[in-house]
Amino acid sequence: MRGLVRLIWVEFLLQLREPFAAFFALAFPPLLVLLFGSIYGNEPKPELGGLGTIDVAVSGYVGMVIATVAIFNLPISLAGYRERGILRRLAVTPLSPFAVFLAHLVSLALLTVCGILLLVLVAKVGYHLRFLGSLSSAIAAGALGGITLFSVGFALAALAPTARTAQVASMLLFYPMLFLSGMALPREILPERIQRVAIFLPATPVVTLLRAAWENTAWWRNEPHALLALVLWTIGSLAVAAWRFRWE
Amino acid sequence: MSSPVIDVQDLRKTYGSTVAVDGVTFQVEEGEIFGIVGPNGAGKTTTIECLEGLRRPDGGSVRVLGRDPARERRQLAAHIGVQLQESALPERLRVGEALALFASLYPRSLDQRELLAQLGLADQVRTPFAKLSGGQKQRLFLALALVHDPTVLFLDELTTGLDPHGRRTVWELIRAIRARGKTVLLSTHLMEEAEALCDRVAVFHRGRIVALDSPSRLIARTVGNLLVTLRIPDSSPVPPLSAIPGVRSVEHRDETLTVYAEDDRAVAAVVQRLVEQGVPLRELRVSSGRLEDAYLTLTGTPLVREES
Repeated sequence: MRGLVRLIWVEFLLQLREPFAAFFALAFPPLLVLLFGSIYGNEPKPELGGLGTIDVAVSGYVGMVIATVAIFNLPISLAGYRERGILRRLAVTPLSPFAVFLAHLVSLALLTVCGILLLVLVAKVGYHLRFLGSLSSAIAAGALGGITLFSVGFALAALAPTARTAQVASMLLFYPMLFLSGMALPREILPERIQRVAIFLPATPVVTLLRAAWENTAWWRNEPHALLALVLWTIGSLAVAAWRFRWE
Repeated sequence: MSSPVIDVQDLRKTYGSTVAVDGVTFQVEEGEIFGIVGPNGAGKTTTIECLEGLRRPDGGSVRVLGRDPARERRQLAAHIGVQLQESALPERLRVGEALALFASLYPRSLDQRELLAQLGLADQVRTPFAKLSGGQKQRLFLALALVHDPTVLFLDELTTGLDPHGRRTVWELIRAIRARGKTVLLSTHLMEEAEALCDRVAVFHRGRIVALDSPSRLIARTVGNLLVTLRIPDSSPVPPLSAIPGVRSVEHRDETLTVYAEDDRAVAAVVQRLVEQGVPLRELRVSSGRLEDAYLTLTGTPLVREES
């Protein structure tokens, strides 16, 4: 137990020391808030249902933090551990492979939570972020989205033979999601046809749930398609991960 | 007699169509330093990895402290210390953090500061792994193998990347560990290391053990205890020496004549024959036989036999 806690802490520290990973998970979303806040402000707008630009954007940015950690940090670090023989070295300690897995997961979840808190804090202090939903519903939506996208990240780690291929695969999946799934831009401004394609990206239903939670809709009743998509992505990804994941 | 700490019976392991280990049998007793030497691809690392539980044997049986490493890897883990041949740590993990992490994985551990000082890493506590030199990395891996004070140590390529000074420091450490009753199994490319450190040495060749004995007996058995060298210009005729009783073999290369002899009597006879033949005894030297020569003979680079 002591070892597991220390491993989680060490892994968390290592993520913070990785400039690329730490920047996109922690610094980038608050910077976007500051950038767009300085351009558009956060005055309530009738076309946004009485919310401001930042209020609407933040739910997408929460999805972005989750997706960044799940699609970038997780597969790249896990594939790197395998490639460099770190998993092999841990395999000859009393730690079970499951514990190593768990430590990775918990430390990355911790990083995600830190990223979200930082984002919300900057939006709150800088632009008086409005939040109409209930906290528990938003946390549940975020957790569900996190489980799904982390599963997709595990599948990528299982499929990628090296850290470098994991990085390429992560980018190929992440950048379309960033612009098409409603993370960086609201999905409504995209053409109808592209919106229909975007439904098949794993981050799209995550953002759908987060926005619904933000606008205080009962997503668990009103978004059955998004829920179904999340469940399918999770099952499919975990099956791939279980089938293809190798320790060395 | 107590049962051996390590017991390997007819171990076999194949990768696809390649036979890596082809029927290896040996035992290591408590408190012994046991060496495995052999060319690359001889099956050394595969054998060690089967003992560590990282690989499952295809045939035969392997026991460490009476347990099956492949099935009971986690139960064994607290009692064995492992230095892998190829391994790494996260680049930004610091030396002190790595040691503290590994110490926390075990029920008990040694004093970390003292261990780092013994291995000459006291000034590197805050240095990230990626910034360490090859020798420092190697010593850190040794520290990670030792931190929980294991009963059995598996050290694959113990001192690769270490300078002569660092190597001797590590040898002293290994001897001190053995003096505390621990058992050590190591593999090495350096015959000097095997000779200096090991109680017994197994010579691996093509997945088999071709010889297993103490270094001195391996030398005596294979090439003779004594070595006579002297300078003879390549153009000069070499007197027939092979027929002298007690002479194992004769080698003439690069103006140096090397005679492998079993004992003093044979050496005296060789010198006498040289004097009789009028060969000037320039730079004549008598020294002990070396494990290196025994090793080269055993692993198929035979000493050049002079025809007489």
